[in-house]
Amino acid sequence: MLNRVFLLPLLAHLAVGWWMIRYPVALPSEDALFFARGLTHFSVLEFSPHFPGYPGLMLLGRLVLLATADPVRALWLVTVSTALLLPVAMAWAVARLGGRPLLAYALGLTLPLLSCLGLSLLSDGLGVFFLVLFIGLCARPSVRAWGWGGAALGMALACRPSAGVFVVVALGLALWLAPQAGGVRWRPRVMILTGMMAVLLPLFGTVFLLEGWPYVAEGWRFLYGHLFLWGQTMVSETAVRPSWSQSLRSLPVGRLWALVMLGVAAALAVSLGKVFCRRGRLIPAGWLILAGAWGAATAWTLAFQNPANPRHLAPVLVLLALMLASLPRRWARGMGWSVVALQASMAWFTLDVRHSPAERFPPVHTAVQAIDALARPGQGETRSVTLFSNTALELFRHELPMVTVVDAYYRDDTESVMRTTSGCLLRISTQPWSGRFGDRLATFERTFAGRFWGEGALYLYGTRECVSR
Amino acid sequence: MSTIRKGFLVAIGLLAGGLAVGADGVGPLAVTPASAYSYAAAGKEPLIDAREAALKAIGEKNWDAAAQAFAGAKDELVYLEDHHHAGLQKELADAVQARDEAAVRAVLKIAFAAEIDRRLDGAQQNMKDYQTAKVLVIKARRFLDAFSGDIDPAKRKAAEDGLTAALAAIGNPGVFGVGAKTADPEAFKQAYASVKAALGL
Repeated sequence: MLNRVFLLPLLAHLAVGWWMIRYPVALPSEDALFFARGLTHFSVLEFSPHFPGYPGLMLLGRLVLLATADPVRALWLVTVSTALLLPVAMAWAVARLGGRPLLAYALGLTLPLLSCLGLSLLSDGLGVFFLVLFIGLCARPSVRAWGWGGAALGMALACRPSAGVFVVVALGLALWLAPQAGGVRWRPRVMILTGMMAVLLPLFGTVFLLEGWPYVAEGWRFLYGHLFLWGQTMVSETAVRPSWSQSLRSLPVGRLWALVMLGVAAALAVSLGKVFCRRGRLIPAGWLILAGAWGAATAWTLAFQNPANPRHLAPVLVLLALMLASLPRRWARGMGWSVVALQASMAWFTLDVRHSPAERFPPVHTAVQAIDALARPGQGETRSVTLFSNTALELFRHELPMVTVVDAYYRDDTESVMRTTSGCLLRISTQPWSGRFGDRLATFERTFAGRFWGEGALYLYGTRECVSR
Repeated sequence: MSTIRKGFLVAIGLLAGGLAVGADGVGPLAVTPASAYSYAAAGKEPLIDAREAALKAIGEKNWDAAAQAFAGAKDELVYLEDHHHAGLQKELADAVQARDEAAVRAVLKIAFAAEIDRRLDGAQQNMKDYQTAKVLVIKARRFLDAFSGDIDPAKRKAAEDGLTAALAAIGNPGVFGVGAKTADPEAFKQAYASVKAALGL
């Protein structure tokens, strides 16, 4: 009986894993390039990687690098294996919360962002993975487990520091509820803080010792820039600000799915509120931590994260799945399996059966190949190309040393270069041609589609001289 | 084994891991400083800001406003004229007077190259102060990125390689001496020279 129960999930896991590992090992973004560099030469000031240095990810990546000489492959191994372990961690956490592990596992395995978490080569998957471990460890009233929970929370913060806000909320709730963990009152609190500091102090302490006070200055510059200048957050000055609604539109039945998830959240909130009113603080500590972290994650993500990157929704969705799977209500089970069915059908309909994953490279990779072909149109023939971009500048400079790459963030400089330069001018953007920078660039347009939800498309357009022989 | 002892061992392990993060390695992607457009944009640099304002005015054919825009970088321009390129302000004023956008860009290119020279000169004089020297070289890289549209890509790559070599030549104090590398003034001098050559200084 046990074997039958586990056979189907195991087969599903193998199928998802096989599908994911068949994608080529390639850099999908500039941030991934920074991470890969950080594995061989760590310096936050040199953007190797970018602020705040992600020391947890760097540590894990360096450990894997001992087994493979290629930093990109090491990064790939870390992120893909984390994504594949995430459903297992979710099932384990929910089992400790006294819920339905199989449902949690199915919600995790069919999560539309799972491929993105694995193949983006970024830190989102690790952050949410350690957050799930923290919740699972704090679900039982054990002082030792709460100590390890603190360590898991520290790793979440060291791998994904932008999760800091909801990690702090989760920690605050954990400390408030710590007496429920048993033992004398102060011991669980000390254990959780000790566990967290045992991870954070050595890791961020090393970064600070390496970089000194310029690290703090860079942190201020970076945070200010993310929030108010370039981050495309709710409070940023960005001219074109995407919305979460637009991001969901890129997913088949994405808006329906979002509505269902909102319904799930509302139902959970009502259910939790009723229990809270009736039984006060008798709600299990693990449950309150889970709900508090979810609320904080949702508020933080909606206000201060970039909607152009749906991967930022991962903590919100994973925590919601944990709540749904751990609520001891019949309707929660029915709703949970309905969400699984919806997510599974979304995965099925987005499946590209015409191309093997092995042939599918990230959009930025195929864009580089296309630009390279334009810069070298024939045998031994070269063409002077100027590329304007707001995205992946360092990656383009690294991969296309023969191309002049102009930072389109400086709009007036960009327009000036266009006015004073003739020949092949190319613009690459995350948006289709919209008339910005004039009609001159509208001679042709090529689209490089994302491979899965969460990986945005790139659009390349340019002047007539780029395609004429 | 008690929980406290286990916790202590984990902490020691993580400390060792932290030091491993800080130690330098080798590889195809190693030792290349980098900054993305947006990541670089938050820093206030008078010359970059003045260039944007002036080029905006030129785009609107408002040449008086363009001349005014450079007043925002007056201190920078005076310094660069005094120490790196005599006659810089007059060349800029003449180009604006002649309403020649390409000429304005050509003078700005000289000014940006001089800013890089200034930072590298400062880094050379502060070789004993690792943090200061490193920040100055990184600032130089930011200027190189900001005027990439005006440089031949091969020369830009040569300048970038020179800045990478300069960063390596500064050395590294490591963490409590672990991973430390001594500074190499001679290698820095060569790197500095290669950047200047690439930028035509």
